[in-house]
Amino acid sequence: MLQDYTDIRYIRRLRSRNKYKAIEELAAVFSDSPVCTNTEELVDALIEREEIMSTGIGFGLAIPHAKIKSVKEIAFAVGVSKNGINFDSLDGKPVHIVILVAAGERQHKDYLKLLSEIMSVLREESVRNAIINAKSLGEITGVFSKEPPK
Amino acid sequence: MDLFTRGGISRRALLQQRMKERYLQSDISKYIAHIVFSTLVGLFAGAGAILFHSLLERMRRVFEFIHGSLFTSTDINLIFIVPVIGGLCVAAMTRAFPEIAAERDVISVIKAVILRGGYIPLKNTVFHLIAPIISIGSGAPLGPEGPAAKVGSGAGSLVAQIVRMNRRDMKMYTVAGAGAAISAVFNAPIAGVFFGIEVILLNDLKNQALSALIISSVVADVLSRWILGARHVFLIPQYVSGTIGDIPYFLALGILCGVISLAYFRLRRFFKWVIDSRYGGKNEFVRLIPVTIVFGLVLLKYQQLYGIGYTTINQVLNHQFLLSTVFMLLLLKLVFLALFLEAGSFGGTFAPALMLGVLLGYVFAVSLNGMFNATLDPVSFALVGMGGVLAGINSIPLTSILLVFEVTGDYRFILPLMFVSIISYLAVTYVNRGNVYTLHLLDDGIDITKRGELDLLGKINVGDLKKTDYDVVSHNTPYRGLLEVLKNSTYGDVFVVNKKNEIQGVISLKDIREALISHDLVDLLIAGDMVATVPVVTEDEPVSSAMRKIEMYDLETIPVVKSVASPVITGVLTYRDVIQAYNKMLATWETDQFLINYEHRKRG
Repeated sequence: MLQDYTDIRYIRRLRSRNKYKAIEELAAVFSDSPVCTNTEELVDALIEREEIMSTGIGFGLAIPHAKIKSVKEIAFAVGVSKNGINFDSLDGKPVHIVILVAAGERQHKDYLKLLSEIMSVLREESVRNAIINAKSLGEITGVFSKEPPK
Repeated sequence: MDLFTRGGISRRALLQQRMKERYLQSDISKYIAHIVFSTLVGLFAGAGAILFHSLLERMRRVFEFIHGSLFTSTDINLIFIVPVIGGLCVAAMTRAFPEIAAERDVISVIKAVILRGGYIPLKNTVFHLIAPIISIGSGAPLGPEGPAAKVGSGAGSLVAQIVRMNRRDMKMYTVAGAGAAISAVFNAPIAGVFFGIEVILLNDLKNQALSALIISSVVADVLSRWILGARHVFLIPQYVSGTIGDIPYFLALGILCGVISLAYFRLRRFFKWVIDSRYGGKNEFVRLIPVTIVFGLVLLKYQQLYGIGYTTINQVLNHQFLLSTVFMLLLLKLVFLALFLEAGSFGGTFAPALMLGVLLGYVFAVSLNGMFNATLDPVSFALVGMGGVLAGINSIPLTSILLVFEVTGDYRFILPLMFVSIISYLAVTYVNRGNVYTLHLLDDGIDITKRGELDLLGKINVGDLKKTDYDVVSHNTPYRGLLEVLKNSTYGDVFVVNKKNEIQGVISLKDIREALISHDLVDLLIAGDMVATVPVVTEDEPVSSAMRKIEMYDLETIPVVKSVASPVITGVLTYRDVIQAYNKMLATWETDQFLINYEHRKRG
């Protein structure tokens, strides 16, 4: 279940309008957490990956992701932006949901599995709307407690 | 009809025909040929060892004459020149035939047996007959048994080559020749057999070469006794063999023998480092000549160090030296043994080990007697020390016990001899983590298991099996492009490289199956996201090492790179190719099943 890979502490409402700033803001949730021992390294890896090809896949969704040594537990953070972030998305539209995935260097299979499950859940427009319109962070966590559609 | 005829054929003819049929149906011809060839090898190897022994003796006399006559004419002892003359000759020979010279020590015989089916070219045998004669004859403190074993195995191999035997038989008679030579040199047939088993066959007691080894050793010893006479190398005076109360002293001696053996290995490593990296380099003359000069000067005071040292052993056993002299001889022998071997001289370590053991045992017993008023017999401890150091330096406990027993012809000290030999052997094996020969082979990338089986894959390098039809993508290749490459990939693995063309990892079809099923990821991923770290191998790495990595990471393919520092991919090694190569090598690898197979056929 996706809920196992995240925590209410890793969910944040984003203020940044710039995608790199947004990534930095969201990655900060892992500071002082057991997930990552070096958030600077994580941010660098995420930005480096973003520069190769945008992770803004359209429908107001972006999934920046990285696999690095300093990540000890595979996890994801959720950032919600009411105003939208310019993520150079495929459809050119602003991004309202950012799912930041961090994985350890050797968590290759879990990493792809997690990305795949996140995509399965978030392809539903109702789910995306539920996240954007959630009144509390707890509500957002609740979205990820449901089984992904097969 | 005649009572003795049936169908026109006489009973005798019938009997002859039946015997002929029986002979042809059975494998008796093989057994007879086996005995004949083993005898021939024993004769050749024994003759080779006797020739080696005789030439060595003559050479020793020539050099003795040189320094003796120089001494009388100039009134100066010029013995120090003799090792230098020998060193110059040996260095010149090494310079002229570097590849043959590199095939030194008993280890080269072991390699010939396991890697080349026992094939030893005649020129190698001739070179290693002459070089040690000059080297030891001119005073180098080394032993004749290693070169004799090389000559013997060369003779065995030559017999096999002349009659065009297959690899299996050639290997068998090469082993037999080595044992036969030891048998002839020391007048010790049992030790010859065990030398073959422990050293050349690396304790493979099931090997078919055993019968050839025994026959050849017996024949070689008979020949040696016939030509050179049934002599004992050592002259042992009356001694007291010791009591049960001496066991703690023998235990201490066993440990000391191990310590001396370990000191020898450390010294060799140290001198190798000094000569290879600090001063000698690859110049044969620069390596060897300074050593011979220093040794020559030392000979002015300690002439007992000259050559093999059997005379010195006899003198020590007969109490002809002061304790301080014996102690100095012990230290100097140890240092120069290691130094000469690393400097590039030719000779073995059996006789020096015997001398070191005698010196150590003598020093040990006399010192304890002096310090604690003990009543240990120095001769008994010297004899036992022989086996201890021999077993420690050469990793041959059984051969040591039997060799010392046979060369002394005395059974009285067999129990402490066995005890000390095995303690010393265990001490060395514990510290070195293995047998000296297997460790040496491992350094050369040849992995021998305890049962004497060969890791065939250690014989070939990754470069020999490397393929270049691998698939590679840049790390920023989008998922769609990657799918196309993966779909058409040769091995189902695609290697991912960075901007510098250095390998980042691999994308295996089996690993990303789940991601492939979910079409949602198509727009999200690039090759770099899906890459899994992968170990790399270099072209000059043994395939056995690559195979360990393949198994550890559960891979189908492993990338081959230029170097670990610059991991630019140059090819790929596949698990399938490694297995195919292994099976192919196994087919040519002669398993020693001749007699076993025969027994099975007979029973079946």
